Amino acid sequence: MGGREQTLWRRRLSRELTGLIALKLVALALLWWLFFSPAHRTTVDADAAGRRLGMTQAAAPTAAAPSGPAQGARRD
Amino acid sequence: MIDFGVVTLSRAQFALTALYHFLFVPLTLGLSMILVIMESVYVMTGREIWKRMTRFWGVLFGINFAMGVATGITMEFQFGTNWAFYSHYVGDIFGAPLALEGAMAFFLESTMVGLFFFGWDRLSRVAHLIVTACVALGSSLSALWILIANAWMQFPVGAGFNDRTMRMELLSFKDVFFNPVAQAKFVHAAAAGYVVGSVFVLAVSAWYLLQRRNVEVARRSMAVAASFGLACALSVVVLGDESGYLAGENQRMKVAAIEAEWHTQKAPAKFTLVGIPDLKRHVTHDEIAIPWVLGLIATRSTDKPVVGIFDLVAANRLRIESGMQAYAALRALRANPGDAALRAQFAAHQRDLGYGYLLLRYVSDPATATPQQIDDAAWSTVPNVLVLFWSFRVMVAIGFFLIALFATAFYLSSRHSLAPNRWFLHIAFWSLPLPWIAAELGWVVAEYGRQPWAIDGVLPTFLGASPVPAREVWLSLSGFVVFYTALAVVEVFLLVRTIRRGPEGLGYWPPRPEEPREPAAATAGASGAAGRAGVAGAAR
Repeated sequence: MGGREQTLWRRRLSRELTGLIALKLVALALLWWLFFSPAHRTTVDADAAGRRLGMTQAAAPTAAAPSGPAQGARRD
Repeated sequence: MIDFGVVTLSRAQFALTALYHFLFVPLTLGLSMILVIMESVYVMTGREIWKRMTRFWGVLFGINFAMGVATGITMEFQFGTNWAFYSHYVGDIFGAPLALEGAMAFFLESTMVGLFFFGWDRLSRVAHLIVTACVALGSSLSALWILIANAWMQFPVGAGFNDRTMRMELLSFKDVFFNPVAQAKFVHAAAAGYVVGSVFVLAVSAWYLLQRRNVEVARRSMAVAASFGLACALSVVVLGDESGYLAGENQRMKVAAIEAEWHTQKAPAKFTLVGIPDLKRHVTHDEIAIPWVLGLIATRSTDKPVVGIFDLVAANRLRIESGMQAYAALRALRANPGDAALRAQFAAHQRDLGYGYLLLRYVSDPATATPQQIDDAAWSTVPNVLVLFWSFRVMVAIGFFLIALFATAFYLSSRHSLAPNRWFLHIAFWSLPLPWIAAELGWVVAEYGRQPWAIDGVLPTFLGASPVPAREVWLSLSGFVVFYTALAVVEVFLLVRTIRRGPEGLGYWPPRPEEPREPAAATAGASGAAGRAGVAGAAR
């Protein structure tokens, strides 16, 4: 492949790569907008988690920190 | 209200996709290491045939790698779609290793795979070998992070429950990373993957030798697979024993179910080789037992008992009663967060909160459960003994058979007498599905044996499922069945076509003029007739 042909080939490759990356970015943005944008998010808070566990009382805010790894240290 | 039909469907979907995904993972793990071995020999000796072998097995690796990626991504999405509460409750811990797997292992593996295929004529020998080693490293790192996440589900360390956010939160990443269960599971699963790769190479090479085609490539490939496979198959047994020992420490119910140990025996416990566990009467019929063996394996001692299912259920009943108090205290604490007495009461019973959740299957308010409901919940902590008992035994039997297979292959290979022993080549070829069966059964033992827990002792599986309509799960499950069946057809078609063409038949890889073709005497070590047929085969 001559020098000029190689330059043309490289330019074409760069153009195609740029086009493909742009297309990919558009596709990703579309996916985000269609499925993951804030409008599609479900708010999961402590109250919702409590309801799932059958605890219906409304919770007041507390500053409780995570407690120790008691559950992790279990032994049957 | 929890829809248990949806829970069952979501579990079935996850089991189907996980078992299907694991058809590809161990082969990727195993073949990547075998590629490193073959290419290392090429770099050290400079002999072209080793490069040819690396490229050929590399194509099969590439087909399988692509399928593994495609089927793995869908599993991670299911945590959000089908296991939303699970993701909320433990995502803080479980998400970290999954994210690290993507950012560290998968990126490395995917980038290097491109260089592996397109870098043969652009990189030096050593540089290309480093690329191949990075592919293998990426595969193993990927397995490491996934198994760290899975081990945390089996033995949840380094995390605590936060009553303000109503979820588990990470307290020590170091504890999660160095979870002893994770280390044992990783080496066991990785070694099992290497065995799968070795059996694959062994079986395909045996087929070539039976066909008297690609004899030189097949003979060398068998030598690599036999030696690497033998070392790995022996490691699987040793590392599996370590994994079982840790389960005996941390998941006693799982071990009791695997061994159908209904009642605690006097130490050292006997090992039931075969038998028929009766789930209704809680006995094992027609058992053949070996004295002492279970006690020695499970406790590594002669004086420690292996606790039986009845005793474990009794202990779990006490934990459920403690969990009821934790549940009641947590509910009251959420209404009165400043109450120090409630906080102290919750702290005293917090480790059993997950056991209290088990009652939600039977009653909407666990704090009001009846003795019968507590009893039912306690017995729900026993996984399916029949399935675990036989899954484990079939897995172990296959493991020992594969050790014998590799040992025989190693012996015959070292004596250059593989080709004449066609009986062995037939056995090696038909052994192809066995390591996959063993690997899948290993996951059945690990995951089905953890039931009824998603996170052992912390979160029951039924609570983790998303409250989605059953028809949606039916739709996605049906979609997976159709899509995965199509993928399986494509995978098998591509693999079979590539294997049929063989190293010489790959169109994009014509032998160079200066490169000697497989010599006529390539069949050295085989009989003269086999040698002549081998040349004919190579010409095809």
